[in-house]
Amino acid sequence: MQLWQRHTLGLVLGVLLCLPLSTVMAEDSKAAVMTLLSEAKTFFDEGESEQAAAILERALRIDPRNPVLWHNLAGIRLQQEDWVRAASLAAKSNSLAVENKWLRVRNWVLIALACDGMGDMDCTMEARNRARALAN
Amino acid sequence: MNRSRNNRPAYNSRRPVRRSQRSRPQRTRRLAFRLRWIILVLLVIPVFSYVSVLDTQVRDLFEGKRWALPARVYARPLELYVGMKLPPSLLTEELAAIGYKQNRQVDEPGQYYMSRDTLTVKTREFQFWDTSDPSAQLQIRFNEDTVAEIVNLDQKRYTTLARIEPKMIGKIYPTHHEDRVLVQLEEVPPLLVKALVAVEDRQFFDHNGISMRGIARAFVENLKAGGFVQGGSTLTQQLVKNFYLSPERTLTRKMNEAMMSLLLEWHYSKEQILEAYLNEVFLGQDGNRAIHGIGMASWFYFDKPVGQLKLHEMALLVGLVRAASQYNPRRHPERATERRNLVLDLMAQQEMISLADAELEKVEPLDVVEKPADISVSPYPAFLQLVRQQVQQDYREEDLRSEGLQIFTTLDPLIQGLAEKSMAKGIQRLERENRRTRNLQGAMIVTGSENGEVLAMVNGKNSQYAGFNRPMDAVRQIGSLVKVAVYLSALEDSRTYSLVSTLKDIAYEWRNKTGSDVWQPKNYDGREHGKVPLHYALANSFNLATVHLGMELGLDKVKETLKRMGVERDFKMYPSVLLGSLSLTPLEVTQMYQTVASGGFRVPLRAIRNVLTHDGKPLQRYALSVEQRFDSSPVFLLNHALQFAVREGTGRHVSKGLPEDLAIAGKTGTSNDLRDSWFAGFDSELLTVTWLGRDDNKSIGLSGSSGAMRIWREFIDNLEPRGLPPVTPNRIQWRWVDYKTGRWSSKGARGAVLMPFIGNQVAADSYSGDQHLFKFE
Repeated sequence: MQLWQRHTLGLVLGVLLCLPLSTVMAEDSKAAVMTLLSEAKTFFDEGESEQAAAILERALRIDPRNPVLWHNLAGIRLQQEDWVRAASLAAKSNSLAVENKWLRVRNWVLIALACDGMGDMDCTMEARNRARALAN
Repeated sequence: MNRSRNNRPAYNSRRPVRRSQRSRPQRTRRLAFRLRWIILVLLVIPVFSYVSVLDTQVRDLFEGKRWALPARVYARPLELYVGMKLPPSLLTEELAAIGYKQNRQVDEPGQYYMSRDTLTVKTREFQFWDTSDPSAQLQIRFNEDTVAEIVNLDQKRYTTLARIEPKMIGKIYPTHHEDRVLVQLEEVPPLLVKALVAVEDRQFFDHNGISMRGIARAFVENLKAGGFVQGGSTLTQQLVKNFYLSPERTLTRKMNEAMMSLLLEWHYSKEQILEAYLNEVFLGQDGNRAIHGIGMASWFYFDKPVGQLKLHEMALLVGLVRAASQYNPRRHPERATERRNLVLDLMAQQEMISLADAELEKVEPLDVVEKPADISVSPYPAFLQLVRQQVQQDYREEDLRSEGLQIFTTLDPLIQGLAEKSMAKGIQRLERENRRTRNLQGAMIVTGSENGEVLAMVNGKNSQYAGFNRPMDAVRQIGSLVKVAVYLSALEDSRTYSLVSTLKDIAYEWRNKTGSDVWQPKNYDGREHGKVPLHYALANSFNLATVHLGMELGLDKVKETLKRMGVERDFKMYPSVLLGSLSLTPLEVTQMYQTVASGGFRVPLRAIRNVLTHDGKPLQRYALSVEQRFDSSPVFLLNHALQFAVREGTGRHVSKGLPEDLAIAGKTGTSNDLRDSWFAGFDSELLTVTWLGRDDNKSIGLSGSSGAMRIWREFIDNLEPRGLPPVTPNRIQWRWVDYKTGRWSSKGARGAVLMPFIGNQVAADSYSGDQHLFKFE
């Protein structure tokens, strides 16, 4: 992995699991999902990424259409270099993050990194372009 | 010199005499000496090899002893959170199902108390895959059917969520059907251990494996009684007998038993032997399941872990060691009480407990649970088969049967219960209402729309039926359920098709190459409807419009869509497939509809969440995984039309009275001659596939809407789902159109409805379904 890629990966992972909950989330379950998100973050920070993934999946059972949870799950897979799964989960987050442009930018960055991990240059370029187009 | 001189003649003179007197005994002695050696060698070699063989056997088996432990299969744990819709009655039902007892005090784990709108519960400690949840005293306040507040009384603070341990829903037994839960010596109450030693082998801590005093006492007792009343076996001997030897009573076996007991004591500590004994001892029988060990027996009789046993319960278990069947507390409560009280007396005699305590405990009832919550036969045999099928992809059969794996599944007993009830009641009602409908059977599968977890699986009207697994194995024609693939193929081509594209619902004829085979499909109502908008054709399931559309798109294209949706079974594509001459199992249909329910992402159906070792170490996790197969915009359009199908189309009669905010999409399906009745319905939370038919494939006289959809309606009415609105993709734009003609209309005009369209101006803002972007396979 090149230096800029490491830098971007670090940037993505650095803010992973700190993302605020989006407005599409069901109100009633917000507090429970916040608790799980913070638990997942603790595990993630301690390097227990699979534990963090399991807790994010618990949160998704409560709030199945929360794009932030899907995004964080994608980030964990990216960190584990499970590129295919990371890209698919980020695409899922994108399909739900209709009102969160910033999250969609992050998802495209994540997809670009995953595509790069797979060595698929076309895919990397396209995802990067999408991220850029959205960010502007 | 003299002496020597004197001696010599004397010697010489006596010599012949000596020779004559001594030669024979000496020879005999020498012979005897040799003989003794030969006998000794002859004896020692086999004895030595005998002991050495036994010694190897004792050590190999004891050190490598791994009891065959059945795999334990659990349902999902109930996750409670503030804001959750959960009637209190369902929570108490769940607690009762996992063996929790209603008790005003709530001072022990496994107890709860419901008063007005508040439930207090003390949960048991439980090892989950992600965390180990300690026992906690919780106070849950309800606002009608919603969890309003959760307080952790131990920590004296509000909490937002809590998890209740899952219900065990089945076991995969070793071939000899032994069931046990391993315990370590330190987990077992010391009093129980002391009582066991006092009753079964008082000299346990003093002898070396065999107790001469014990044998003598037993001999005297047996002599007095004039028959066999008492055995002189020590605990070590009993363990050896169960561990290594066959049950027959022969002298050789007795000798082996004695020798092995000595060897066992030689190699291992008393504590190690005691722990092995506590895990090995036979303590009951449940059908063909044998209850072994104090850990399993504690659950089997009292529905709690061994550490929570009360004094009189310990005494009962100790009493059972001698003859578990004879003192079976469920069958012979009087004998069991007598035996228990005898043990209590003995404990008092040995000053382990006071006389007063013994008397107090003796008046206690047996407290044995009527039916063990820890079931020997799964109440969900169909689902368990799915679990086995999935778990067998990763584990060998023998490991499943003997490693004591803890398998945590996705089954939601509350949803399963509602689904079973809907199926049983629904079938009963349909059979009562329709004369032609007899021997009706069915299947229902409920999954999470987004994560593909199988929450419920119903096999026929009798859920306990462990025979033919209809959800997994009934391969039946799916009728109009296939049409979603035709319409999705069209909607993906957003430049050519929209929900208001005009389709021709007119006669169609297909001939094979030789012209000998003619196919002339008809609409369900036998009529032609002329030009109809696409959404209207789908909602009303018009056959002719669908065939025209399918042929326009091409059979290969539709087949490819079916494959992308998740149909893995190989099939030949004929025009008739467009109308449902495709046979699939309910599970395969669920996988196919999962892709549209989750907005175009293929989500593999999962029945297992994770697997732990028998002692709670994480082994494997079946992680959530998705794969984008369709762009979310055409899927959104399709699902919108499927909502029309439920509200205005084929499902309009059945959906009357459904809450307005429930955005349910669905499709009915009926096969030729009304042999199969299908309904696949989903919202943002759940996908439900229902099938009705007969096992002999005869006609049931029911269509998708008059059969399966009514069962589904009953299920939805019982479930009362949350009704989360679907997420509208960015590319979607809304316009008012006339529902029947599909022409532009305006707000407030008669028959005007809002219809979604895929706009192009925001295409760059959304994932376009560009195939090269996600060719990750």
